Amino acid sequence: MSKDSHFWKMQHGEAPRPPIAKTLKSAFIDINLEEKRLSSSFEAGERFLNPAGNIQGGILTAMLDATMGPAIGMLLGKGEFAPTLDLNVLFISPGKAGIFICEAIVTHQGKSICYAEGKLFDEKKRLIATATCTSLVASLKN
Amino acid sequence: MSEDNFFSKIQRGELPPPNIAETLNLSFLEVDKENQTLLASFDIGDEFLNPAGFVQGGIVSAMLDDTMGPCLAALLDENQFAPTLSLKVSFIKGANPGKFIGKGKVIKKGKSICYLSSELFDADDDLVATATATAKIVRMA
Repeated sequence: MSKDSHFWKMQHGEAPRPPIAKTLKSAFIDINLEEKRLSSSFEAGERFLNPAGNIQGGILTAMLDATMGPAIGMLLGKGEFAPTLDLNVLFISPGKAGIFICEAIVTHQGKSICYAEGKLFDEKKRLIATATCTSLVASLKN
Repeated sequence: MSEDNFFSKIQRGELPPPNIAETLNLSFLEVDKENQTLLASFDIGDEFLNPAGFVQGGIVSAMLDDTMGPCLAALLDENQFAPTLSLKVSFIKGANPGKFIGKGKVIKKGKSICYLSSELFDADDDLVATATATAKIVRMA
């Protein structure tokens, strides 16, 4: 872990937050480096509704990805990044437009491969979806 | 299969398209009910970029979901809906913002459980990501 990594530069305002963070109105609400846990809040509006009037599954996936990704990102060294190789999502309850909370934990941090898990809740703490992901730790070319 | 399912009604303009379709700039290019395949196009802007400057993985997933989901929806009866139970996405290549083509297929349409797959290509026709999903047919309240 390096405080000069991209995640910490963003946290310290030295690098801009990505557009997707603004689009999903995301904020980190808890960061626990020791336990490798990170929690985020999101607000998804009506522009993301599917024909059933629920938040589309890919957008729920976007919130899980935008929490598990930074959970891994906060553990990386300087110049490292960790693109997602695959994502598995289970949809438990329909998500209504509004506030969401996502909790992620890095379950394995290898030299090149990381695994993380995420749980997405609505404002009433109801479990909406869960996910696991595989990421590859890579170094930015100078 | 019915011509009065919600997919057909949206296609005929009798029901409004869902908001997510407009947000992702979704258009259906081809619906082949006999072969259970569907072609969709998307146009994704800079608001969905991740810190690496690529379209965020969840948004890539949203396009894959909105390709295979409608492919199944086109085959449903009136008043049926098929929420996704699980989704697995493999990310092949970083996705630059712009136009995408989704190719969806219903692998198996059961009475209740259905298996779907989709592939997403970028403007250069390079494969960006693939997905499989399990969906369950339910009656709308």
